[in-house]
Amino acid sequence: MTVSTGVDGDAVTGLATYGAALAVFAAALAAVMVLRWAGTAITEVPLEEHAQVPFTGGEPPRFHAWNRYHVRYYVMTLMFLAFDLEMVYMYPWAVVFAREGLVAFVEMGMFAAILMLGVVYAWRERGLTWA
Amino acid sequence: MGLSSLLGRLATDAPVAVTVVAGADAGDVAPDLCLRPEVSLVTGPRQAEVLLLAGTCTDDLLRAALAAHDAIPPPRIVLAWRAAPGDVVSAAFPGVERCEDEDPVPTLRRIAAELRTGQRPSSPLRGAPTARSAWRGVGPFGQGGRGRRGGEPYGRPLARRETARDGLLIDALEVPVGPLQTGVPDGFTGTITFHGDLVARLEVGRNPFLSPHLTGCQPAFLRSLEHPVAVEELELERARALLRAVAWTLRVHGLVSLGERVLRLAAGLRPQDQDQVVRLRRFVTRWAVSGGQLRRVGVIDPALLAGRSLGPLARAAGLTEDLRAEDPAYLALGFELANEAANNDAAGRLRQRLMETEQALQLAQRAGPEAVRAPGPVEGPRGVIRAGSAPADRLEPLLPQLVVGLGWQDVAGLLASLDLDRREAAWVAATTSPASGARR
Repeated sequence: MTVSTGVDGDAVTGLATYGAALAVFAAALAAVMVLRWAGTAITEVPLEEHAQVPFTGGEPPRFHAWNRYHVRYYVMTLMFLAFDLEMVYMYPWAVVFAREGLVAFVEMGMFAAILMLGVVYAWRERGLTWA
Repeated sequence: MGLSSLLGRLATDAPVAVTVVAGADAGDVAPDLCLRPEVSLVTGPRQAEVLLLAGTCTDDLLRAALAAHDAIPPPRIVLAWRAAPGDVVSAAFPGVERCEDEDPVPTLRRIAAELRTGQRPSSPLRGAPTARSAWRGVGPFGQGGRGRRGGEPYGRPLARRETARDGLLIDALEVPVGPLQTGVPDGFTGTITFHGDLVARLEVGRNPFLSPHLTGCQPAFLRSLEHPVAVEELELERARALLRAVAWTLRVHGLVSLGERVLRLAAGLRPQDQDQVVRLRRFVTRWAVSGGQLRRVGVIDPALLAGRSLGPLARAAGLTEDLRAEDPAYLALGFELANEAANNDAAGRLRQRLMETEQALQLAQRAGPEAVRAPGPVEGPRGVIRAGSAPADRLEPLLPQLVVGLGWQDVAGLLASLDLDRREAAWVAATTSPASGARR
């Protein structure tokens, strides 16, 4: 009996915890809804169609703005990945190196050489030039 | 009742958000409004409530003004200040409020207060061609159903593809730059094609200020082409124009309040203010700007500038071109060429302009009211002004090769450092028509 009451008590406590979380969630949802409603209720200025087109100084835009964009910072991303991955593997490798010795060293050398290709590519793309 | 009257009073006390479309003969209205606390000169129509049409409004300006008007969120209102009666403005904006006073600010405040308290209706849409069409296409994103390339979302075609300079196939985004674009000189028009964030091409459009009949007061340098003008007046005008260019550069680089201080200095400039200009030069060149933002921005090959008589621009590049060095009126005042020549970038040009401001104030002080310059081609604040040839006319052909490969922020920095003034060019074209050129 005592065991079962204990179980019941735990279940009630668990439900109460969920209930509190649910209440917080419901209150947050209600607050968001009320704020959204209040926002539209007090502004009451509908956005006209003209205001939804980009203003480019008085000339109508000729093309849709939905285009593929050249991410020029990709070289910097490449450099980050090259050096970051190197560091991520070097910590566990340091432990293995103490046990395995030369084999681990050669393996790490191969890994670093592959990563270096990325660095050389970034170098060719002038990623190492400042500004 | 109490609450609504309180809200009404608060609303009428708030600064009036104004966006300005200024013709060639109302060029100083924007820098002047910048200094008024009752007015907040906003950067675009989206933040504005009043559209101020100042001076002669040409057809090109009017088209842009209509687009700006429709982009202002309601309630909005239009004020035509010193626009010729019965001109294109009345036809485009029926029942527009007009004002011929020296100072447009009281009228601006009055109509804005009436607009805010509901005593005056919002100006209705004028149907500018920027209205978007319906989203056409059958795919899930309106793209026409065959790949991403088909279809015309909202009636606008998708960008063309071009090969960028690094061999990548990329969308070329053509951006029209209208006369009211924020961040570029007033009245600069054209089409910039971007490959990603870099400029691939620039086509410069026509000058929207060009008009055969400008009505306002003719600027001193233009008058000096045909009439004798006091050296003091010319040099003060030069110093003011140079300081305004400096203020605009500071504003473009985000130093808005410093730019406002420079505008304030320019507005009440006297020959005795040399020490203030010296202090400003030291402050700007040592601390605020040249330490970073402007260095190595907009470097120009001096060979491109040679022979174009582009004033401070050429002198900052180390060229020794100045008409004043041959002018007897200036030689009598002991004129010496001021030459920066340290580095030919935006920072160097800023220093050169501040040095020349200082020099202009010295010359104005030495000249006094009696020294007068004989009529003829004159060294203006942006280069030599001749009959039929303004500095902007000689600078514009260079622009396409200067901006290619730059990012947008560097284009804005470069254009600010060039001090392109299309209003001056419009004045030169209007004062020296072919007939008066032949008379010469």
